[in-house]
Amino acid sequence: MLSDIFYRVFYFLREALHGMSRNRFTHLVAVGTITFALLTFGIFLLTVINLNRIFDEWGRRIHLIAYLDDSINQQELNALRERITTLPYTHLVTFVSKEQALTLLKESLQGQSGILENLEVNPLPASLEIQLKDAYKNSQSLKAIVAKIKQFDKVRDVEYGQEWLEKFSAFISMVKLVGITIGCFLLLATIFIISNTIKLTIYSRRDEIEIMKLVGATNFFIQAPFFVEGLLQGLIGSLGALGTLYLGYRMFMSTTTAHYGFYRGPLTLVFLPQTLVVSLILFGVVLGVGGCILSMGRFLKA
Amino acid sequence: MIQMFNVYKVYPHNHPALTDISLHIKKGDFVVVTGSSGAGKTTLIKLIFCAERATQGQIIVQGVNFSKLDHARITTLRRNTGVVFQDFRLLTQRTAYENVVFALEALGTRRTEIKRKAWQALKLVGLQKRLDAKPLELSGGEQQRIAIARALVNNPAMLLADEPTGNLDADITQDIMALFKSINERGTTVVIATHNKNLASQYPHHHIILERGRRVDTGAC
Repeated sequence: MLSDIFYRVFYFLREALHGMSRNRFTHLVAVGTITFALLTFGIFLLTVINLNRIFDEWGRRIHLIAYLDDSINQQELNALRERITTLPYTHLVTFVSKEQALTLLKESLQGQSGILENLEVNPLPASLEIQLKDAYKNSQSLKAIVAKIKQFDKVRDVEYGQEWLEKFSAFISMVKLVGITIGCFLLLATIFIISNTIKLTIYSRRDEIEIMKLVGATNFFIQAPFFVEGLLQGLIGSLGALGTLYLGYRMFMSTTTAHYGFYRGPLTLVFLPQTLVVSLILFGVVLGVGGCILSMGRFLKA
Repeated sequence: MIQMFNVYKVYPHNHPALTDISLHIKKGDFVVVTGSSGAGKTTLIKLIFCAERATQGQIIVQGVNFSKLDHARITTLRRNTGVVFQDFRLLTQRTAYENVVFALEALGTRRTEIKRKAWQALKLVGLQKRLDAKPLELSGGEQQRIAIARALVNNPAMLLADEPTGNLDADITQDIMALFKSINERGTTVVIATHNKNLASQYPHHHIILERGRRVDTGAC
C-alpha cells in the first residue's frame, strides 16, 4: 500500500520532470519570471525591514524634552518631576533651568554667542529632559508618551524631534506603497506567464492527455503532474531569488563594511528573518501552483 | 451491453450526424458498423464511449443510462471500454511496452501488476518480441497491435474500433480482423466501424449499415 503511494508520487514527479525537460525554454522563462518577481519583492522587503530598524534605532537614541511654563514654582517643579519619574516608562529625569539652557545655547553658538549679550530677559524655558526605558523607545510609544506628558500641568510643550521622525516615517510608508504597487503588477504578470507556460505544456502533451482520458484516468491523475510542474517552478524560482538576494546582500555588506566601517554596530544591515525566508519560498510555490490551477481550470472546461 | 433508443445527434450549424438510431448489442457480440464516409459511423462509436453526447434519445451502455452520466461514471465506463482508432494514437516518443504501461499508470494500477498486465497484453497481440521498439520503427499493422494491446490491457468488457484497418493493406487487415475475432472469442464485446464493405461482408450475422446517419440494415441487432 505504502509502496503504491510512493510509486504514484514518483510517477507524478517523473511525468513532471519529463514535461519540464521537453519544454525547457518555456519552463526556464517561467522560473526566471518567478525569480525576478520574488527578487524584486525580496529587495523591497529587505529595504523596508532595514529602514524600520534604522528608524527604531534613531527612536531609541531620542529623549524627550518637556518645556516648562515660566510660572512654575519649586514645589510644583518637584511634584511634576516626581510624577514623571514614577511613570512606568521613565528611566531618568534631569532638570535644566532657564539659566542652564541659556548657557548651553551660548556654548553651542560658540563664537557667535555675542548675539545673546543684549537680551534683557532670558527667553528660554526651563525644561525636564526625560530618558525613556528601552522598551518604550519606539515611534508608537513615543507619540503616546508625548501626548500624556503634554497634559500635565505647567508643561508648555514636549519635543522629541518628531518632525524629522515623521518625515522619515512618511518616507518608509512611500517605499512600502511603491513596493506594494510594483509587487501587485509583478504578481499578476508572474501568474499570467506561469499559466501560459502550463498551457504550452498541456498543448505539447495533448496526445498523452487524450489517451489518459480515453482509458478513464481521473482528473486528479491527469492534473497532478502539471501541479507538480507548477510547484517545482515556484520552488526553483523562489530558491533562485533568495540565493541571488543573499549573494547581493553579502556583497553589499562586504563593500559597505570595507568603506564605511562605522556602519557596524546597531546600524548593521540585516538579512530577511527565517520566517520571511520560508514565507517567500511558500509564496513562490503558491505562485507556481496558482498559475497552474488557472490554466488547468480552463483546460478541464474545454 | 449497448442499447440505443431513437438516438439523434445534431452537430452545431444544424448538421445532423445520426437520425433515429436504435440498436441492441449483447454481451459477447461481434458487430461491424459499415457505411460510406459521412454516414455517421465515427459519431456512433463516439456516442458509445461518451466522446460525444446524444442530442436526443436514450443510450444505455453496461447498465449505465447516459442521461444521468456524471464525470465519475464516464471515468468508470471508459475503464471498462477499450478504443482503437485508424491513426493508432500512440505516443511516438515511447516504446511499445511504455505505451501500454502508460495506460496502466494513468489508472494508478499497482506497480506489481503493471509489468505482468503489459506483458500479457503485448503477448496477446503477438508483439512480445518488439517491446523496446518505438512506434515509428514498426509497421502499420504492428502499430495497430500496440494500440489494441493498450485498449485491452485493463481487460475491458467491450472493445470499440473506429476504422482500425483504414491505414493497413489487405493482408495485415485480415490479420488484425482475426485478432479482433480472437479477442471476441475470449468474451469481449467487439464493435468495429469500417467503410470497407468487403470486410463487413465477412461478418454478416451482426451487421449495422448506416447511410446519411440512418440505419438501413434489417436490424439484426
